[in-house]
Amino acid sequence: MGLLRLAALAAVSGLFPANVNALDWSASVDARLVLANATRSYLDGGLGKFRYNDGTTARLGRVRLAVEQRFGETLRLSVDASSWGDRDQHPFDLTSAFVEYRSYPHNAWRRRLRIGAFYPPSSLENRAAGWTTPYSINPSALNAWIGEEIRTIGLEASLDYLGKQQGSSLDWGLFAGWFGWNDPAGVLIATHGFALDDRQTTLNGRVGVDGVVPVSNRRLFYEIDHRAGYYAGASAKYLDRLEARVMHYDNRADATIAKPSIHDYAWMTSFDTAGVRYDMPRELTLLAQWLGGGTEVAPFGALLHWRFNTWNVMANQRWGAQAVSLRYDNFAVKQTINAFGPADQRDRGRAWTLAYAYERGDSPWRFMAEATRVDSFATKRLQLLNRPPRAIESKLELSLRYALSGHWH
Amino acid sequence: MRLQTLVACQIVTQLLFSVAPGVAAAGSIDVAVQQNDGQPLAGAAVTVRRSGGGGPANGPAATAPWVMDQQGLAFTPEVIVVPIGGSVTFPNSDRVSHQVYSFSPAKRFQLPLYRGRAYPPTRFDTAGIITLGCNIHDNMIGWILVTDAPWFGQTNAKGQWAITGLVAGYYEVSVWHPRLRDDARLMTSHVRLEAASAAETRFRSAQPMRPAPLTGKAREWDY
Repeated sequence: MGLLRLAALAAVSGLFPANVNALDWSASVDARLVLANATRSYLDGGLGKFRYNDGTTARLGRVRLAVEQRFGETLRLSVDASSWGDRDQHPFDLTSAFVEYRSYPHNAWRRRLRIGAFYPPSSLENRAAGWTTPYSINPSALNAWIGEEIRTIGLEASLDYLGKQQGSSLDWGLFAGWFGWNDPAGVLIATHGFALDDRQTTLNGRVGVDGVVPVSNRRLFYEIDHRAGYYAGASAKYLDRLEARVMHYDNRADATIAKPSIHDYAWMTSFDTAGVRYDMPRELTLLAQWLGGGTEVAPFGALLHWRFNTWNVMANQRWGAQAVSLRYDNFAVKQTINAFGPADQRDRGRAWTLAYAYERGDSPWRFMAEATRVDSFATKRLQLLNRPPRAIESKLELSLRYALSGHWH
Repeated sequence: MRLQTLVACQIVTQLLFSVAPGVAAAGSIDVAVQQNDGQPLAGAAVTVRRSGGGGPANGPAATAPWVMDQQGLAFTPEVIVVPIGGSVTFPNSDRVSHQVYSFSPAKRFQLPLYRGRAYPPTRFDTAGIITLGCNIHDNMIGWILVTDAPWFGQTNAKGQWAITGLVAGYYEVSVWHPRLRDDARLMTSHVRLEAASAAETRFRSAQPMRPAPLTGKAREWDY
């Protein structure tokens, strides 16, 4: 399936004349040292909120290889692949691959079209290469979830109004996406709630260890009901500093349809999200984000439904090569309908994250340190693992990243 | 005919000035521009016209090679002033490619994606304000003021600019900067210049400036 999608992309890119531009590439390796006081990770048979288990470990955070090829003036192919250094069935796989058409502005209007697999443009936090946050090692619970379960495999159209070029202080835009292959989205938030980690599910990747509960070898990017989903949103930007985005997402899944080959149903998931980011003079950035929605599944017509909600606020101050961020996360998942018994699943928590970054513009190295404390309550810890539902987990994570980029003519 | 006479006068004045400095009846106008908080406004475009016309056809620096560089994902300098018929090169000193465009009525053009010095200079034949952008990096913005004024320049770090070698008469001095909010973004004053004298004109914006572009890391993300 993934190969098919890649082949389709290759075919699309082959339609255009031989390149007149260089192929840009970038590669990075991110190594981690983790000192965690935590319960077993949801990625490894537990319901802990971190990517890594308890104890002190040296781990591979991410290996990333990305290429970008332009075709003429308005088309670009972008391919981003990563390894997360865990037991994923596909150890190195794509997180995104798409072709973008971007017109020249006509008067103040510009059209864009993306086809392929990519993230919807909802995040004001994950703005750096590889859909990462530049402010901390691990993004907010909100974007950790987007990275785990949400991807557009389809097309997206955008219309930008470049007001700054017309003497106005405001730029704004509208965008809408139409996608398939995201029917399982929702299964993980219902299973393990929100988490605080930077692992992004790759297009053919799995989440969780095979045969282990509660999160067992889940596939996220799969078409089950042959019904397309959509999202639509808007953005507004005051000069180069204050930006706001809103988006509505609905995968329009038929929650009654099962896919035995991946042991899953189509999960009908919809959510709204909004964010505002203020890049201020003297390198201070403030960020606030919110996401709320619901997901449901109906095996044999018996409905199960969950509501979820998360918000976070962050401040980042940079002094030359150094930067410090402080973030507060609040998140909750609540089961509201359970046809098989009491709707008693709860998974809520709050977290503080303090991060330090050292990155010089002329060096390929970046160092980050991040301390996180998360206080969470999850009924499934008791229901499935016979553990206390409340857990206070803390972690000190160090990241050393080496990144190179260049271009081939 | 009248124009020719004036031009001739100007040339004579300049000749006198150059042959016997200090003796000529040449005057000067000193321009100072302040923001509304009293801070000097650097980089403001100043244009000077003689009331009723006249003056050198293309200004004293008509053949200067105008350059608007691109460094650190910003047009550098962010504002330049060129005469009608002036040509500007747009080198890209960044490691990433830029795609420069303008859809301003005075000059619509685009420079397809490039690094380094890919294109010959672009010529500007119509007076007006040209707003430049990069289609890859939406935060990049630059301005070219194409002017038909015989004398023009930009204020220095102290907000000052001066023009010398003017004959006595009435002059119209205008100041423009993209971040001035004053109506029509145009501040104009009329100056009477006596022979062999120095006139001064000061501008102070009545409103706070629009914010300057951010510098630093935030500018490099989102791509």
